[in-house]
Amino acid sequence: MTIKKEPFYKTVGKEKEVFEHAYENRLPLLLKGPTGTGKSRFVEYMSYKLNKPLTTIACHEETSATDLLGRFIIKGAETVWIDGPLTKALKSGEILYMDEIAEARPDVIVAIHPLTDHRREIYLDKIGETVKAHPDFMFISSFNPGYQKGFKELKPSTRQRFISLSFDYPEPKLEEEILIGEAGINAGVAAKLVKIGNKIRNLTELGLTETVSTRLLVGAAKLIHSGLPKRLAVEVAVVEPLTDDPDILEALKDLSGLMI
Amino acid sequence: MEFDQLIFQKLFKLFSKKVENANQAFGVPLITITSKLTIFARALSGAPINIFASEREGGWQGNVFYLPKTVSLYNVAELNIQFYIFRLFYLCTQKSLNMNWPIGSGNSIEESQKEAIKQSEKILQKLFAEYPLIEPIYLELKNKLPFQSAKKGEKQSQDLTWLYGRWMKNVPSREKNNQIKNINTEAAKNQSINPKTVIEAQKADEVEILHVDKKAQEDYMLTNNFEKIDTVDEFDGVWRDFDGDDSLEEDLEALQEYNLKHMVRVDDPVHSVYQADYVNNASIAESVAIENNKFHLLYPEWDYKKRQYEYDYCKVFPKKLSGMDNEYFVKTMEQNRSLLVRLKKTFAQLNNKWEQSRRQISGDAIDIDAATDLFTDIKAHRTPDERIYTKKRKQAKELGLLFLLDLSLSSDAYANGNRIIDVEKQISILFGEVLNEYGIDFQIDGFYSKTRNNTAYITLKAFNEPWLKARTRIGAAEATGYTRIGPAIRHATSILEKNPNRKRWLILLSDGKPNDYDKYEGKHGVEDIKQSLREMRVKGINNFAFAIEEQAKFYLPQMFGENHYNILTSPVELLNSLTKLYDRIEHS
Ligand SMILES: Nc1ncnc2c1ncn2[C@@H]1O[C@H](COP(=O)(O)OP(=O)(O)O)[C@@H](O)[C@H]1O
Ligand SMILES: [Mg+2]
Repeated sequence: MTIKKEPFYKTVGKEKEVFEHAYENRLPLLLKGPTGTGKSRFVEYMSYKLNKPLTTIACHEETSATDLLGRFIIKGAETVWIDGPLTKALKSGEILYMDEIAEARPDVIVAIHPLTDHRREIYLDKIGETVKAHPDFMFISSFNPGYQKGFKELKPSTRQRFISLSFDYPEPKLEEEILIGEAGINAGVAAKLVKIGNKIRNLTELGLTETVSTRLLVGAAKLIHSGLPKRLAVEVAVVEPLTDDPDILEALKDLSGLMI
Repeated sequence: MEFDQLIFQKLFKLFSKKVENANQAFGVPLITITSKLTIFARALSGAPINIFASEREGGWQGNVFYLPKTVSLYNVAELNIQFYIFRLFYLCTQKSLNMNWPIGSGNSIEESQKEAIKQSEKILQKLFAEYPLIEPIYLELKNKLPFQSAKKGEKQSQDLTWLYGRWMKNVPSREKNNQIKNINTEAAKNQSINPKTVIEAQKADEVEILHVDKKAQEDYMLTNNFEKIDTVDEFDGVWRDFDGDDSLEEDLEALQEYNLKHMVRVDDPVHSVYQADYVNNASIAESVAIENNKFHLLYPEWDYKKRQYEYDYCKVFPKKLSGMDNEYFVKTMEQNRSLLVRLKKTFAQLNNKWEQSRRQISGDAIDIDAATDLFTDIKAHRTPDERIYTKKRKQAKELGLLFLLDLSLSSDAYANGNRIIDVEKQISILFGEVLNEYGIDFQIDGFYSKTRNNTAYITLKAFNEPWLKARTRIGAAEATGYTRIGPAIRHATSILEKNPNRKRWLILLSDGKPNDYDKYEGKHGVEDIKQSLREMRVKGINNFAFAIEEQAKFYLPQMFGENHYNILTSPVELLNSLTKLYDRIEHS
């Protein structure tokens, strides 16, 4: 996918420089951080800036090497080999973004190892072929080290193959600007939403809820912008997605109601 | 105090509070909204705040907020609730400004109330700046606050202490290196208790922290006897070395329990159980090892403040339980007959799912991917792989479970009318029956601690031991000591590491409160447990916790993470929990 319009991305730190230099040297990059902190958005933005097409693969428990590398399918009386998304991106020199790589099955990790060192290649065992990466190809993956939800750990041997960048919730000021930029709400409402977000994040820290991502706050901001009452918007876009525990739900609704 | 004396005192207090009880019908008891207020407090402050009932207006101290036991100041329940909410925001702001008496100061209640009123302007200012919506609530509460009947010649006035509380003493941060010698847990040893009366502890504000050590004992005048102490407030730091070392040690022990305030037994355990709140301000000195010469293993402990390990810090003494209680087993089976049948059914269904294995020589269904590969190979004139079937396996030889039971004294308490340790034991027995039938590897262990120098790790059923032999042992496990979970988890990890199964799980059964009397509680305990779980995960071992107490939902997720625990107050709830646990196991 080639990104035509510049995505809205607020730079948080030195991530742009790091990305550019990693790309220069074709070093694989690992974006660490909780969900909704702008990792995907950042990759889209960089893909636009570098003018390189982007392929994103969202990994989950069932993602296997076959899904990524390719498989045979039956076509009439023939069996035909089809390249998987990884193989395609590799051959045509795209930026490949593997989201939540630790969630994938172990054979995926094994398959990408030769891709992340000096060899820059993959081995397709089913057709006995080695595919070298196109010179423009870059490999990026993301990983959520938050241990709360039971995310899988990434082995040190895998981690050490990547240049790593940490993502976290932006400072309040910056997060407010993101809400304003994304949803077009006024500064006062943005400040209140960010404050609610940060208070509930305290509970996440204590393990009582899922995390309030910038994404959730953006959602609430958009609903408010389109005219939904503020409290209701916060309830459905921020509080409800966090937990199913009725006590905690009620408390969070009341609490956010006292803040907006 | 005798029981009738206590009743008298309670009644007396009730009558002497007439004025405040005028609006009784609209009164809101704190306990009806404690859980909501706790969530508020934790969100607003970011600290693991606990909320306790206070004698009167209350205040804050460390991570404890004291709020009135009931509020009936207003003749509308809604306003009384608003009052609690206002006070909570107020205390959060006061705490964030760190406004309280300095450590060690001694001010009277009147002074403390006056100071609170004097400083309220500053707190309100910050409060309203930060939370503008609280201001109208405050104004209404203040407007409608009842006037007190005035003394002769005086103007009627409002009792503002309700709004501003009173100042309390800051709590000292914990020091290390206070060691007590020669503690034994004789006093903590448990006799099976059937409480006839459960008396709630009197609300004591500003619980004093008592450092109990030999030095202090010598320093104080020996005039009083511990048994006479009824509330911590009344304890004036004076006790008597009564009849030799032994009894004193028992007293110390009891006193420590008192400080940790989990549950304090009165002298005659058959009559009553004294229930008190959980105070996390209390900090008690460490004890020195008593069992150094016995076989033990050393484990590290995580110091989150320094972000480093204290190596070889904890001693774990692995033991086998020699006792036996066949009757307990039989009774559990009888009482849970129909539950067991349902459990086995549920288990059979769940078990079916994850026994599917691919790439088999023969089986009940064809694996499409494998079949496609086979055709390709034939076309390409290669020798095809003929393992193209999926198959349901007879035995799930890939799972190893280790159940870890919290045998500390706090598990001798009741949750929903069931004794926690009984729920733990019954669950283990039921699980044991089911797992045994399905040929799944499992081990059942228990633990308790007496400081870092002594964590007892008791194996009730080892992985390689037949269930038939071990199952009568479960009933013999009894509650004693404290709950240092970290070392027990680390030892369990080392056992699971040696287990050859692909999926290895640690399943903890506890009341969910970590504590030991050498500061293993609060954030330190929680962080150590988190760290020990992290170590475990890195080794590819998973964990799940069953908490036998409702309140645990405020403690457990901090340590185990949201989807890694389940609250379980009776064996019947095991059915649902099992499903949740299996869901986790399946995705591991
Ligand atoms: N730095 C940022 N600049 C602009 N938008 C951001 C930024 N961080 C987060 N967002 C917003 O949050 C949403 C979620 O971000 P996303 O990149 O999908 O998160 P992640 O990939 O880390 O889970 C985005 O759609 C965007 O609205
Ligand atoms: Mg994403």
